[in-house]
Amino acid sequence: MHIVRFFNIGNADSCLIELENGRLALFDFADMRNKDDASDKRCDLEKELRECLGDDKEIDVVAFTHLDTDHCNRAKDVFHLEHAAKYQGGDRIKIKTMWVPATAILEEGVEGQARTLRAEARHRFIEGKGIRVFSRPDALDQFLRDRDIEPSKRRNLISDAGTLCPEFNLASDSVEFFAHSPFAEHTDNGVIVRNASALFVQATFEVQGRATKLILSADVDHETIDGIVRVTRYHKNDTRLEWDINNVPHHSSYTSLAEEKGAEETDPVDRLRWLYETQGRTAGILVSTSDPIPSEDTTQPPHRQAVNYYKRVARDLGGQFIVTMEHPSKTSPKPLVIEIGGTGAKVRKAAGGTPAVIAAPAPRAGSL
Amino acid sequence: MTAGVSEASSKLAQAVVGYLTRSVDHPFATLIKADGCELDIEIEPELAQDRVVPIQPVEPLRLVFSPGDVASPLVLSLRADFPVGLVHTVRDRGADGLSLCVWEEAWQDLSRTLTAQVLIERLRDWLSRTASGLLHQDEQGLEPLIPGTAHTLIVPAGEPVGPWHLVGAVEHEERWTICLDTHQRSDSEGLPRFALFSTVLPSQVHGALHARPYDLGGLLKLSDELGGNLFTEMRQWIVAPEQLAHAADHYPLLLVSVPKRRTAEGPDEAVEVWAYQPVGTLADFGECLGLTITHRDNGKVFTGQAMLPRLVKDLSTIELQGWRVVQRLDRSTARAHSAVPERADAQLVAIGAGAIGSNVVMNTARTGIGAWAIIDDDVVLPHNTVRQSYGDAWVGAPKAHALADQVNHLFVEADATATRADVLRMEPHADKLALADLVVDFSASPAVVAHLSDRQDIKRAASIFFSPDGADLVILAEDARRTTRLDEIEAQYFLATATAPGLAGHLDAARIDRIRYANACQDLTRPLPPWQVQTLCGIAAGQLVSLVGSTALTAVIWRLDPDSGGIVPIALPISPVHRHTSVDLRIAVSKSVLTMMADLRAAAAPNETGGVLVGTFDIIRGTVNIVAALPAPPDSRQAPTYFVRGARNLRPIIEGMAAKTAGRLHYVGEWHSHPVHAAARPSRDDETVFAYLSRHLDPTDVPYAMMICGERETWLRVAWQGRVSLEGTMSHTNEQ
Repeated sequence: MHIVRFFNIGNADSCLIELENGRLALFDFADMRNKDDASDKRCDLEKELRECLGDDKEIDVVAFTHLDTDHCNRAKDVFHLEHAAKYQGGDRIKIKTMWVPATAILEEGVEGQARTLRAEARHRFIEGKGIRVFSRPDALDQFLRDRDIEPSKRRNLISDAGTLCPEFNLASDSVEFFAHSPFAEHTDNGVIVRNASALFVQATFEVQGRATKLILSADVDHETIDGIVRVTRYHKNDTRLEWDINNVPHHSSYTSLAEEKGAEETDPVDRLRWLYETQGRTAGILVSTSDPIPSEDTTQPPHRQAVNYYKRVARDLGGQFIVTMEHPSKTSPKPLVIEIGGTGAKVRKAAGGTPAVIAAPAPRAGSL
Repeated sequence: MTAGVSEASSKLAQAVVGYLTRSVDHPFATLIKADGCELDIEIEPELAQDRVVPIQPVEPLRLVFSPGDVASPLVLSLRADFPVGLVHTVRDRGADGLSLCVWEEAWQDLSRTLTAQVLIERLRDWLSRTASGLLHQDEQGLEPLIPGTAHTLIVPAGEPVGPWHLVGAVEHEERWTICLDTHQRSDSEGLPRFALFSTVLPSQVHGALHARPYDLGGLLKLSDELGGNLFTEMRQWIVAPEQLAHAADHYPLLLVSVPKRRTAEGPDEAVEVWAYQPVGTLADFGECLGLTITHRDNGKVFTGQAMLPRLVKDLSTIELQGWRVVQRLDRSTARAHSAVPERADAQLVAIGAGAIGSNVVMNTARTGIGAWAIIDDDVVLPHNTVRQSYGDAWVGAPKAHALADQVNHLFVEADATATRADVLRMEPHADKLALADLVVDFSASPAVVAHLSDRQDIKRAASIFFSPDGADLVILAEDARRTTRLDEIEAQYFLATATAPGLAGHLDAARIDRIRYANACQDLTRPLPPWQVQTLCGIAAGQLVSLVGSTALTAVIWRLDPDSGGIVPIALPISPVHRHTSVDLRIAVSKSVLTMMADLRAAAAPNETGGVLVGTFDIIRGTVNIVAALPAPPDSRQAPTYFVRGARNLRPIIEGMAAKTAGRLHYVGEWHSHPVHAAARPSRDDETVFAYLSRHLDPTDVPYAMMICGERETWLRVAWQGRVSLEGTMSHTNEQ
């Protein structure tokens, strides 16, 4: 059994994949909780992650789908970074291989958290180890040449869209990761990356001959997804867009479905309709990594109209639509744990009471 | 949600409402409507994507509780498209929905540990296992097509085809148990006159229990649905000369046989027989149907075929009474006769005359140990002859009478008495338990152990039972002064089962390895070779004889290795107890718990230490038996003025103890030590711990205790939802 865990951190992403063989992959890390606010229902991500790791202090792959704060907040405080001594030592968690889109290396003008992670990604790329970069725009070759590195020497660290990531494979890990984005296209002006944005991957798990497919779609907009569907279908790779679990993009923003929000329900563009309605498998699970769904119209996601669409998809599949900040209840959200076994995906639903009391330390007792 | 539960007279319903509305952690169930004893809830089971049965992530159910919680709650599905082909369901049970067969245990036993949370978790688990196809596994016997009913018909073994003859009939509390045989017996004169109609319907693939028809229209409709031609055959039968000849003084009994198979192509594996009795005589029945006419003339009665049969418009007006039908096993058993040394005389009561009771009573009775009073509310069924002391001739007779009769046939002194009753429902003055030197419980029912423990008027009680796999014999007996009561011994027996290496696997087979033997989900028994029963009962009989001649407490398990036949006795350590009572709570703390805490406290000094408490509880009686104080988990923090109990490995330990005791041992609270200079009384921090327990555990309807072990005494507080909480202290003087 593999475990996919989505943490309840508001409008932000962090997904931990624990494989049956003990290997780990973490997609994004954004510790968003305000420790001074007792009413903040977002989880203490660092604590939750460390509890999952136990005595383990290294994660096989940590992917940063892009470097917005809601995908990497406090990463520099928690992880051991190779590029500077001040981010090393103590109880920091090591990253065996870091996955980033090319833009995480190339982007200029970034600040704060993103700048630190960019420095780490650049350091690993220049050193030639512990990193995988997704997509190969011309600018990436230029980045290397500027540093007197022959681009072909780093080719093994770069994955193009439409390929499998070599860090995991079905034979030894019972999982494979297929990268969909960022993808590059040849134009008259050379190779450019059409979408300057995020990592979009499909993971296929295999347990007792049953394949269970997970799509992690980060914050991409509908135009990008439209492009992914177009390119994937052009290459006759439809199965690479099937899903049993779909982490819907951008915290249920309507912009990831269509140009228009819609009055009650967002009407997705055709290729997205195909992705959700045709490619979703029976009893599939849609996960919105977001704040609770508002009843009124809002500017920021989640947008209720987009949610209404996802809910309908879930209903038609006989599946579930789950919001991380509403699971299992709005009043007391907890990380969403999905088990992947020989009968597909299953949301773990464990009641409290005595099991909760003996699973956690008791408050302090004593004679004073 | 709409309110209204205050009118409920079911404490369990109220507890469920409390759990669903106040649970700290999401209970994965939501209260939609509470209306007295009826609760509408939505259950969220754990479901994998691939489901054998299409259970939904949210299932609407209605729970119908019985006033006073005297019976198990009905569980109805409120979903119109709930998959009706499921097993473990009863169709058309009222207009409210599909009734789910969730409970397999006797309610009086189940209700003792059925907290609100356990009830909800049971429903979630039932739905999850139904979805995954685990609820009805291949090796399980085929479902009976119609649930059991009042009268019982015992039919011969083999393929049930007539002609059948009535060979025995016993009536008790207006319920008949009737035996049929394939040939007439000479001793069956004077039995009630029944006219037996029998037919065989086409083979059926088994599935959900069909609704029991209560009228002829319903039966004929069901017969039609199953491809039979019942009506035509029955009409021909009624007007046949042999029926007409005695129509006025015979009662019709309609027997319908249905061969059953697992798949449409598969072979028939079993035959189910339904029996129905219309109201009145065969002549009345024939007239109701418009087929016959009966004339009475000068005291003579003539029944003839109606010349112009009139058509009966509504056959549903002809009521039918359904009978439970049980088929006899092959007659292939012989009883072992073993000699047991003869001993003294005593007044003894046996509760339960089943496999253990009948064999042990017979065995001890042969020694001339004394006079047995036998209490049992069951009748002998065909399969009982394999392991119980009854022969085929006793089938249909009350077990208590059968056993007493067997005992009374041993010797000239025929002083064994029989009472056909459930001991839990008898008036104390009527059950004569107080007159006995020893009351022996053979029923393997936690409810009976509880009942005997509570009775102040009896002289001494013992319980003799088998482990669920039938390989171990357990004897628990109070000392002659009743210093430690049976339930307190039982709780410590569970602790031994969970912790003693020599008892590994003792209760592991609980609730598995059972086979079905009659037409109800609850009628379960276990496959068990007779030699094993006889061997262990022989030991039990010998021990019982010794017990009567001794005043000491006894707690011993004999483990039988079925392969080699080797038997090892294991004596259980039983400690005296401290008792604390309030208006509605009774707490017993084993003195060994105080010793465990004091030893751990001394080892940790000058630091404080602590851990969790383990015990049993009984919701019906409001009792808690605290039997163990576990040491601090390794991630605990210990200091001279405080203790923070960690959690590493704790859950597997507690769950392991539950698993090894058929779910009887539970976490029941927290303990910690106070140093020499501090009193064994709660500090402000300690009150925080108790409030924490209250917040988490009160909504789940389980008891929770806190104990503080000081230098000279231990302080205790126990609370339980809706009951007056209790505090007390226990001196260490006797423990040090």
